[in-house]
Amino acid sequence: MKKTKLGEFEEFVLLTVIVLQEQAYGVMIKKELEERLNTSLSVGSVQSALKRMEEKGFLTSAFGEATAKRGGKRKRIYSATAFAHKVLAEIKEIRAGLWAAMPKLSSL
Amino acid sequence: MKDLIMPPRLPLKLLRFLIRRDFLEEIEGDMEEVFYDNLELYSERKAKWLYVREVLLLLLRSNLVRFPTFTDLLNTNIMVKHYLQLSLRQLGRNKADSFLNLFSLAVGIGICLVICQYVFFEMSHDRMHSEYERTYRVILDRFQDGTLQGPDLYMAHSLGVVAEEEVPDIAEHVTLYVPDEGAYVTNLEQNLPITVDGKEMLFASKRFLHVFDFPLKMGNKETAFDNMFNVVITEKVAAQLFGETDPIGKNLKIGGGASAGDYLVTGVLEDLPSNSHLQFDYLFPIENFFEYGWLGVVKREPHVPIFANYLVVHESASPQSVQQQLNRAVARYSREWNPYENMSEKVRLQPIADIHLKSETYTNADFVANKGNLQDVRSFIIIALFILCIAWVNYINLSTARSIYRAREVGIRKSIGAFRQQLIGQFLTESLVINLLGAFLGVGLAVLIIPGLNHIIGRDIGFQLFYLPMFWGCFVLAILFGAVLSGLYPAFIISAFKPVSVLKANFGGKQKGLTLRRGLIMFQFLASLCLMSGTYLVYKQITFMKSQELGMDIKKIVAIRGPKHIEVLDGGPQLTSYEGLQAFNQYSRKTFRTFREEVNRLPAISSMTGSWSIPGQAYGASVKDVRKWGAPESENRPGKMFSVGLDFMKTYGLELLAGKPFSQELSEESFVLLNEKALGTFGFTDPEGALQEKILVNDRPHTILGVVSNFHWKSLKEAHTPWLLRFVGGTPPYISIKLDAANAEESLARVKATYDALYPGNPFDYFFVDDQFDQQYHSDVQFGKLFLSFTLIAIFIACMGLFALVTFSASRRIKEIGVRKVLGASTGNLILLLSREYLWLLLGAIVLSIPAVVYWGRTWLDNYAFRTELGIDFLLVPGLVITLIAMLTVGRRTYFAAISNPVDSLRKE
Repeated sequence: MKKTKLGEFEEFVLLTVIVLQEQAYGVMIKKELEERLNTSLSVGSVQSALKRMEEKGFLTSAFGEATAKRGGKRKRIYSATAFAHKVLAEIKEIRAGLWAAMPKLSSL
Repeated sequence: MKDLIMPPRLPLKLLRFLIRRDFLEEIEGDMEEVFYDNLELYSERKAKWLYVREVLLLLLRSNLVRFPTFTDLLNTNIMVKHYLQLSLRQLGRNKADSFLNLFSLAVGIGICLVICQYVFFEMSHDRMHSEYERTYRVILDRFQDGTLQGPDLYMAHSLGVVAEEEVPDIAEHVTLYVPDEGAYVTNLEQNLPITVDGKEMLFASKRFLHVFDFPLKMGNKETAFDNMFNVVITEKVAAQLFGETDPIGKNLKIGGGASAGDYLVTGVLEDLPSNSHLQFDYLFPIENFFEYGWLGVVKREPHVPIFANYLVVHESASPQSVQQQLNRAVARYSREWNPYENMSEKVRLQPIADIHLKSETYTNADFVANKGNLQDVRSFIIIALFILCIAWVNYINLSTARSIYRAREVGIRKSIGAFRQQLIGQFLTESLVINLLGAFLGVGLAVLIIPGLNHIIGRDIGFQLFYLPMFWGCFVLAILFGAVLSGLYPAFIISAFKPVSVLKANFGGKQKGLTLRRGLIMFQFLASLCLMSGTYLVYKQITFMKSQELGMDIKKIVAIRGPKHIEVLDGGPQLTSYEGLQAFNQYSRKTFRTFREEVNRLPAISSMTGSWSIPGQAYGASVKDVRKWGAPESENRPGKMFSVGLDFMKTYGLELLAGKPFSQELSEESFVLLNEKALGTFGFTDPEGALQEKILVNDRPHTILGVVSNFHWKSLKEAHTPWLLRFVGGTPPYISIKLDAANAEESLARVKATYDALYPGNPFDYFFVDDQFDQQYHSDVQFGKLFLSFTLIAIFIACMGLFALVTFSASRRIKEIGVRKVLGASTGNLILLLSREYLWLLLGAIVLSIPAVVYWGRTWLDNYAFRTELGIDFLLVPGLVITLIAMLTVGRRTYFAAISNPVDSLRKE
């Protein structure tokens, strides 16, 4: 694997960003993940992961529109970089390889 | 509707302040969106609470927060800067008031700090040892027929041995012995003997310096006690005996006392901290005492109960389990040292940190060098709080009273657009500034006061508290708390003025906050009264104790310390055998007889006697098993006994109820005198009936020769004890001489000459017995002095506040006074008019104070066996004193207001 580490939670956030496309901003990512992981997340944890990944070069971002609900503050829409896609594919491949190499377990 | 509800303000501010600027818009937006989402799902309250939670969680993310810089602080709080500036201007404007507030706060805080340090010092006793939490002192509870006879600290050496062998959970065990008689010490190179008191010497087990971390300045704690004749001394003594030279490896000759001989100095301890309950100057190996102490007493009587035991419990073990194991072992072996069927013993472990403040009264308590008093400590904490509160109350009173003057300012500020909150902020800042300045001065004051306090109490309480960052945290919090508390009320009062009414020409009819102010003045009166009553009672009790008849006359008695060693002339008896010992005793008796005859011949001496104890001292006086001849063993009662010589009753002026005094023909150690208390305790009905009866002391019979009335050998804190005075004719440790006033100096010089001739090589030390006796009240007098000084300070601060308040209210009513005067009111009428209010408050305070001071007084007096009555004067005198002080304060000011010329006050309109 690459030197740049991608944590488990970060990986989830990254995948969610890709899934949500233009809708990928803080609150939306949080909601989507909460639903999928069936747990509640804090704004802090999601934001912190996003900022970290942006710094590592997995994400880029740009300001989106502002809504009344946000008190007129703009959203920041995130999108994954090509590098992120590459790393994700790599992880998937490694995992798939491992799964394939796993011996068939008995019913024990 | 929903958009009327906003996220909570304070967390939002925090968020804006601490989140990185470049992330702020996005995150703040996210937070708001989440908040409104939650608002749809939950109640407003829950949504707000969730918001707070989210903010706190956000602030934990280090990559999202920023550290505010100083300029940030100034820029975001330009208002604060403004507040500060205004506060400082306000301080400068009312110089008198500001000075008063600042002064009372500084004194209040300073005294409070001093008391905190004092309390901390008292609490810090015996906590300097690294294992103090696991170190315990063993206390022995003795039971007779199942009833507790009282706790004791002294036990047989065998108990220590049992503890060491039978209880594996004991990590360390230390046996200590403090001799009850002194010795003299000579540096062999200089040959100048100095007298050393018994309690300055300590015999201790080898591991002593491992259990108690008294740091060694020189020497090695592993090897210091390798030899029985080694001694470790303190720095102080090293300087005294050896001056500048290195004491290690030098010889010290110890003469007399528990174990005489030549000792080798193997270590020098740093002077012992004054917050240790063990205080000593000479440390000897206890093996030496086991072997040679008192000519081998431990070998002859292995179960003699004179040792104190300390132990360290293993880290893994609990003290309760050790206590149980120890008790089981004691139950198994105690028959060896306790032959009585109906007596049983139980041990208890007392953490050494509890020794200073939580010790009970022990049958023999001299081991505790400086016993503290938890109640004194509590009293001081209350005083500290009182003083601080009085200072804060001054601030509240003055600022609410002065609110009228600031009404216009508030009106103008409000009409040009200031919010009430901003005004509150302004007034709180003022309070904060004053409090912080006061705190700053207070710390300085405390640093100045503590050395003075050390001087008064004769101990160095140090500044340890001031080195604790924790303490400063609490200190700043307390000051902030006080500042907000004392600033809040005036802030609300002043900021509530309506601009329309205050800006009218003649505003100022109604005074706000009058009830509260009255309540607070009453509180100040109440606090002053309590302190005053306390001081009065302490002094009353001390005077009572000093003036009480002692049942003996100790005035003009000089006590000379008896010789520690008696030079046996002409190769006399050797002290190695019992016969030798007897011959020595005979010699000592003969010498003393000669001495007595010589001294009695001197003109200014009316009488002299020898004794093994002097008033105010209780060394080695306890005897546990005393009963009437023929009574069963179960009748054994503890008593106190010491030996006295001829003419003891004459010298000390004891009153003989029956029988006769000792005479020269009596054989030694088998005749006793009893006091009245002993008479009852040991089952005699009347003095005459007891004469010539036999009494068993530790199973040795003594004949009762006479009965004397009760006397106070010790402080009046203690109840009368059953005393047995045994006749001994030999050379005593104390020689008491009753002097006639005339020629005292000259007589003493002649006594010295006789002493030097008969007891060569011994220092001639003497002191006045009544001085020594009064030393017992030293700590009470100290407590009284401290109480008095703190009380005076508290009353002074309260009076300054009162004075300022009266000044203010008189000036507000100056026109009223003018009109009344014009209409014919007399000066007296006017003074009464102005001070009536305060007198009522004072009266209320007096009534309220009664239950509190009576309760406190009773509890405090319970410490004393012989105590003064609370009495009606206890309620009246402090009240009168406070009334007088208050009247002087109020009266002086109102008098000047009343005699002022009405023309001056009515002219300007």
